[in-house]
This record gives sequence, structure tokens and C-alpha cells, in this order.
Amino acid sequence: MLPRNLEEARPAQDATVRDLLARDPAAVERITGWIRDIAEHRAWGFESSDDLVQETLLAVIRNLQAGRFAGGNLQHYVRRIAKNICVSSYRRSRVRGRELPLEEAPPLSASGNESVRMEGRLMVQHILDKLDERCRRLIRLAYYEGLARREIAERLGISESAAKVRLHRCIERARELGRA
Amino acid sequence: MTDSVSYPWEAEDLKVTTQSTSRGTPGGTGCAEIRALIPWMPTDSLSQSERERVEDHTRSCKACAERLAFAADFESQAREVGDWHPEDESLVLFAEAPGRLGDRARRRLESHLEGCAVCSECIGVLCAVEANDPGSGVRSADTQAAAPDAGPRGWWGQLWDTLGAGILRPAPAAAYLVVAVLACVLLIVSQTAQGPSDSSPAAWVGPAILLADESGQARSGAETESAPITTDGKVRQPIQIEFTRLAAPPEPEGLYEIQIRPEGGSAVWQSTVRGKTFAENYTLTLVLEPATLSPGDYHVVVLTPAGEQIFSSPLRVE
Repeated sequence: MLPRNLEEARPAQDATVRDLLARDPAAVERITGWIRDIAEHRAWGFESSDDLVQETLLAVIRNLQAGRFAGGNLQHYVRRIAKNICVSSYRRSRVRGRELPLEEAPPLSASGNESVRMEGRLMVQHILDKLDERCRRLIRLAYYEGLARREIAERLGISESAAKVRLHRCIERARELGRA
Repeated sequence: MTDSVSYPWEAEDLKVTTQSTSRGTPGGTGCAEIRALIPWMPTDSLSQSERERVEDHTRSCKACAERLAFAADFESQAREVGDWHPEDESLVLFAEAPGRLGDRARRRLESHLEGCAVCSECIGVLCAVEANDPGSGVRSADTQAAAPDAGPRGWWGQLWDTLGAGILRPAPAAAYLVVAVLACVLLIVSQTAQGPSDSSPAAWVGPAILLADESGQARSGAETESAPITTDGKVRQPIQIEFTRLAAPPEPEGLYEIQIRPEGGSAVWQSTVRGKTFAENYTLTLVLEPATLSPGDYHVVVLTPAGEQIFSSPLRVE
């Protein structure tokens, strides 16, 4: 059973979604306000957040149209999307122009066990380069980020069994590539 | 290069066992069923019974054992290659509340943050944003209803609610010369040589919002003394210190000293940064080596190039 305050909030929330999809100016303004609360936060240091606000608004509308918002709190949902987009932009801006200090640069040559390890890494990098983006993402989530199957399924919006089969197929493909 | 292999993603719920070979262990587990589990062996995703089935099967099946070895090796190598970073969503979840990530994912993210200044900065910024938008309570897949005000809110959220509206929010912009946000990520790990799996994570207490007046002193002893930055000495914890109402922005080339001092003592940790480091991005990441601080009460202070103390706030290591 839904919490009472959410039950009460739901009709208004549904109306907001409906109005937004109908491009009602008041609804667009309301959602845009939520997005601006995030994107215009001074901590990001963005010179202008207009593009991010637009990008977020489009993403919200696309997700709503695709039925990806299945409930919960609309404002938090919108804010979460805004945060994701701001993080992406922030990281791009920070990585751009960032020079790798010499002491952080990888060694130019290696020997012994390190050489073998490096060969292995090169092979894995080669395999990853050849895998499609969906596989790379899945492998990143499972093997790099260490997300559990349930978390991956939730992140991708698929069932756990689908996640299970996807990784299986991706690793089979990786294995084939490694043998080629 | 375009991958020519197409996957039947739409039919991914098909039972893998339809491709099964007839070969199986005496227990009856077929290779295809085991092979669907093998890629998950290096992760924490399998149940005990699933792991045992894989282990039993691979003892007697060379082909599956080879696949298991490949998966383990691939997982190990894949973690070290490339310039992978956690997804945006992972950082957002972590900043909202680290407990929203599983133990393994949280440890991996913390490990990444230790070596990635950009992602660490990002967590600091997200903490600052989070202070205005504390824990959303929204699940990634949005499959679970959340009350409008649901979501974890620590004491800092309440502090913000209490103080923020009246004090921090820059209503008259000129009155609030917000010159720098210093987001500190303190990496404090157990003093003992415990591995990550041995250390029990402490509860997340969230970023601390500390205030400084024109003179650089904490705005009110009562406000900050009652809510010191607290860390348990084991778990890294992003700590956000927000400077407000300073008289002038940091001098870009000036050297600012960040010190951590015990009560009435001299600095046990210090670091020097140029003003531009936190003037540009309003963010600074400080990394403390493990076992830097033993339990006790400290003060975090910031000194100007002229040696003037512009900020002081309590820090408690428990």
C-alpha cells in the first residue's frame, strides 16, 4: 500500500506528467524549475547551465514518453536525471584539458612479470575495443564497478535473468575474440 | 570497428539451456546452465548453491573449467585496463547515500575515488548539491514508490533545513560573497591491516555544513560544536566545508595551508594548496593516508598566505 502522502500526491503528479507531455507551459516551467535547482547550483561552476537544463528536460520527456517512469516521486526522478547529466558534463569538462602529471604516467617499458601482465591487459583492451557498447557497459558494471546482478538489472531496467544471459553472451563473445 | 555479431537481445529471456549440450555432471547439471553462471563467478552475484554447482561441475568438465579461468582472468584484467570511470548514476547514488550501492560496488567505487581526482571532486560537488536536495529515495529503475519526502536525511540535512534557509541561501547576492566551496574527501582507513572485507562500514553521516563568518571563524561555536565533522577512522567519508561570507576570494597564487590539529596541540596533518586550486572549481580534494588520525577531537583550520587563520572547525575521529 502506498504511503498516504504519496497516494494524495499521485493524482497531482500524474496530472503534471500528462501536462508536461502535452507541452503545457506551466508544467514545463515547473519541471524546468526543478532541473534548474540542480543544474544552476554554484558548486558545479558551470558558466551557463541552459544547455544542461534543455538536455535534462528532453531526457525527462523522452523517458516519460517511453514509460520509464513507473512511479515514485516525480520531482526526485527529475532531479536524479538532472544530477546524472550534470555529473556527465562536469566530468567531461574536468577531464578535458587535464594533463597527466609525469609521475602518474604509465611506464614506457616493463620487464618480467609486469611485461606478461601488460600483454594480458593489452589483449583485454583489444577485446573490449571490439565488443559492442552494450557489452562494454555490462562488463564495466559487473567487473569494474562490481555491481551485483540485481543492481545491474535495476540499472539497465531489465530482468535479472536477462542480465544473466547478457553477460554470458558477452563473455562468450569476448572469449571468441581472444582466440581469434 | 563495427561488431558484425548480432545478439538476440529481444529474446534474451530464452532459457540458455535450450542450447545445452547433453553433457552434464552426475548431479545432472548441464554445461549450458553452468556456462550462464560462470561469468558471474568473479562477482558477488551467485548464491551459495549456484557457486557450488559451478565448482562441482568445473571439477569434472575441462571445457567449463577453461571458461571459468577465462572469466576470472578477464575480470581481473578488465579492472585494470582502459580509463574506466564509474557511471554517473553510481556517483549520484553514492553521494545521496553510499548504502544504496552494494558492499562490493561501494568498495570498488571508494577504491576508484582514491586514485581519481576528477571523480572525487565530482563527489564533493554532488555533496554540495545534495545539501540542497538530500537523499531522493528514488530507485534506479523507478519501480518502487517513494514518499515525496522519503529518503535518508542525516543531521546535516536537518541542520541545513534549520540554518540554510535563513543563513546560507544567498538571497541578497551581494551580501553573500560566496568565494569558495572546499569539498574535502578524507580517506581514512582502519589503522589495522584489515582488508576491505574485514572492515565493517560505519553508517554514513553525510557531508558537514560548516559556516564561517567574515573573520573566518566558525559562525557559532554552539552550532558547529554540536555537530562536528565525525568520522570513525575506518571509512572514507566525503566532508564538505563551505566557506561563506569571506571578505575576499582566495589569491590564485597564494599558498593556503590546511591543517588538522588536536585540541591544544600542533598540526598532526597539513597540506598546502594554491588558492587557484579551490578558487577555480570551488573544490579541493584532500587525501589522508590510512592511520593518519587516531581517535580524538581535532580542529580543521585553514591559514592564509600571511598565516592568518581564516577557518576553524571541529573534527572528531571516533
